[in-house]
Amino acid sequence: MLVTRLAYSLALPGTVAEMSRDGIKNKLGWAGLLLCGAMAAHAGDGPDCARALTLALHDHGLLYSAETSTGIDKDIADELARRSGCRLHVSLMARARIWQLIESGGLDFSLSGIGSPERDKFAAFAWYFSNKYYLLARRDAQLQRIEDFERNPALKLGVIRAFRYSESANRLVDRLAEQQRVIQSSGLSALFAALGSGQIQAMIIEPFDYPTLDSARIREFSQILEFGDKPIPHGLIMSRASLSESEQGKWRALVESMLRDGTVQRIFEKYFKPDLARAMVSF
Amino acid sequence: MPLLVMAAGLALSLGLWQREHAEAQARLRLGFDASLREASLRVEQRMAAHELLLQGVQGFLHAHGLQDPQGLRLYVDSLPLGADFAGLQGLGLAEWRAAPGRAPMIQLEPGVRRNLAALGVDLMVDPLIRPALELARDSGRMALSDRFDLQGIKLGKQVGFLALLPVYAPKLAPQSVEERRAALRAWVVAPVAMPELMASLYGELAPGLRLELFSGTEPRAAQRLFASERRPEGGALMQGQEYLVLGGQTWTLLLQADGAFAPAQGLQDARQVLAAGVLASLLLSLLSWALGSSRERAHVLAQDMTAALRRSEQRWAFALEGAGDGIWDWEIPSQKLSTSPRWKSIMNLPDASAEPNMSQVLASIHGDDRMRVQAEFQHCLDGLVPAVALEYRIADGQGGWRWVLVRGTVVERDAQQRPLRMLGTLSDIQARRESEERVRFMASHDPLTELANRAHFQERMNYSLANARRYHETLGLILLDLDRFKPINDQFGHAVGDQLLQTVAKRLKNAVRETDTVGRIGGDEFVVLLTGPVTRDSAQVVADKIFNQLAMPMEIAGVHLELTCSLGLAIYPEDGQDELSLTKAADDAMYRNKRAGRAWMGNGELRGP
Repeated sequence: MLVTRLAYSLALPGTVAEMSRDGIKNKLGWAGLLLCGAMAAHAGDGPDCARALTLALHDHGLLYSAETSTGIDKDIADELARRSGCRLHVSLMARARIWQLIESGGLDFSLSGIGSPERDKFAAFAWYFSNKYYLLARRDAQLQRIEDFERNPALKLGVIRAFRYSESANRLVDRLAEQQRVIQSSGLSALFAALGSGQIQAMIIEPFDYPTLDSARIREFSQILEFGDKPIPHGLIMSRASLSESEQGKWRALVESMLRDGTVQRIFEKYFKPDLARAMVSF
Repeated sequence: MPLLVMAAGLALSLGLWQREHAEAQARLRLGFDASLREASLRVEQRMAAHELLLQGVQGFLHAHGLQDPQGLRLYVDSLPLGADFAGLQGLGLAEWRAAPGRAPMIQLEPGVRRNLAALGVDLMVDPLIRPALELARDSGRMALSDRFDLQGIKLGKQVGFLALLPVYAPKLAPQSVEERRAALRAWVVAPVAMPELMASLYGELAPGLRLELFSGTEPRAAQRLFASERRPEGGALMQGQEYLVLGGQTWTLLLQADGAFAPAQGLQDARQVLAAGVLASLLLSLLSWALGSSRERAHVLAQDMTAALRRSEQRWAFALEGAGDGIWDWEIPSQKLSTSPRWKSIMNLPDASAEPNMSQVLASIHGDDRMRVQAEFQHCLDGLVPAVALEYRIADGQGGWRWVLVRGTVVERDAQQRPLRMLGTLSDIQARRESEERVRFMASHDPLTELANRAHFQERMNYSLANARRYHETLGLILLDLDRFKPINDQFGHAVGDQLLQTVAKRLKNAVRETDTVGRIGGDEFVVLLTGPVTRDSAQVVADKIFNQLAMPMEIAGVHLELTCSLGLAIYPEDGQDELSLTKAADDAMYRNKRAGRAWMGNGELRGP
């Protein structure tokens, strides 16, 4: 389990505003309390940090790489912890497990989630970027259009369990599932491997998967087809079961402040070219 | 119709079956997907539980350092390792020795003999383990080795893998790969035997399912980590797979369902719906056939009965009409009369004429018969007689009368025995009546001359004598004998003789009054009875007239004849008191007359020629 503690930020160079209230009490004593009074008004608007909050990441390309323990989502999580001053227990788990826990209230947050009528019942969102979906298909599947995939009953699609996509991508997944032509996976790497070995003939990808596509081998046997849907907003997932409406609003305000001051864009620019990063965070 | 019912029933059954089949398939697929998901979740959760164990050891080592084997032994001994961690062979430590780049096992608890054999084995040497060691080192997270035979690390021959978690230098929190590599001190090692790990999962599988677990994304036998013992019966009906990404390894979970899976999900074979539908369709079509044909049969029966009735009616009508009888049907309360064409014909009514009413019928009856007919009918209507059979006369439309015979009976009465309906026939008996009349006439008259024969004449004379005696009246009796008839008959033949006799008869009738009776009592003997007030003189006048009439020449068959006769007259009561004496007197007078030259008449006196 990864545990991101705001406290450790005190060991790093930073402003007083980046300090947690606990840290101020412990490290700065009375002087800190004076400063704390100065930021009380700001802290009063922030989320309730009375208890440790939980946030889960999932292993998905540039969003988070378990191999290197880095990624966009981890940066966003760090920034949320820093700005809120809350103690966030960050863990890594399968996306399907994440949604289960968000629904039950066993998990407070996750990142880069997209909404759906079902999810909206138990989750609230704070959008911070959007992206399109693409079909990465083997060339030997001989697809001219995405519709060709559904027509050939021999072709199978690999998806991450519990993932949802844009409208037409969801439609394709649901139809293929009815025909038992969908193979679920708990991780993205397995899908790339299965695509390479021909166990599946296509998978749905997002810009976070581009680095994997840079592999010459994958380029050699695959092609990319666009679904043509509008970009789908992604955001901070908040469990309605564990966070009140007002707390959700505070976290949403926090995310919006990250968007406004360019923090989100800067994080994305670490992983994408500036144009793409700007396009993704401007929705 | 039955075919239509069957076709509709079969189409409906097929539709229902298809729907039921599709729904059953959808439910089956959902059930299967849920089973697949459940199986993969259980594997994931089991591995998560193992990771927690490793993290516990990691935490212990962070707290106590690597040089406390006794403490680690106590720690592991205190863990509740039981069936929930089936497959876990132990928890141990592989130390990172950077200089030679080795990772020897330095401790494996519990320290049973088998585990002790693994001590000192360098994990870095094994190419199936080394990548996992490096992944754990670089990521700071649990990594799994590829599948290998645990015999490779001297833990017995069984398929398994190592779960590895890095242990970094205490009080360091490495954030990058480089920092982690630098801070690495050891790995927490957990050898896991796959069959034992999966045993508990297998036990929780739904009936009809077979589970296999493979290393990598390709479900090849060489990569099989585990297979449940159950083999699909009759081949797999459904198959699904899921990739599990665990600690840098990808496992493929393959689930197959056979025929036992659907019933275990509470799904009945949709073919039962089809079979029941087909059966119901057949029964329905049979029923509709029975209903349809029974209606048809009833229709045919009704037609047959109607035809039989019509034939019967035709037979009766033919019999009656053929017999010349007309039929009448009288509805008494409404006085409505229905009649057959023959009835109308007998009653001199046109065929197309409307049905007559009873007053018209009564008016057509002869006045002398009407009262009798009405009375007899009334008796029948009153139930005094069962039927009527009456002969009476009706107007024949030409001023004459025609005899008819009516028969009838009351066929329907109400509860109070009041007549409701009377049926009967009407026969034209005019011919019969005429025939009877003729027979009666022929019995009393001479067929050649149509004059009264001897018997009839005798009857009339007796009657007249009785009458005369009672009322003291007189009678005259003339006997007449043709002279020379026999020679004429012989000479000209019987035909001429017969015509001669007929001519004589006519002349005799013409010579007497209607109330007088003329009879032929022998070949050429005639007799005349004069009734009413008769005197000898008036009788003589008649005799003279007869004589003169017969004396007139006659032309018969081209033969000119002149005839004379001998007459004898007798008067009652002067010449005789009874038939015998009177006849004798007349006979005597006639013979006297003959002897006297044929001009003698009366009571013996000669009146001259």
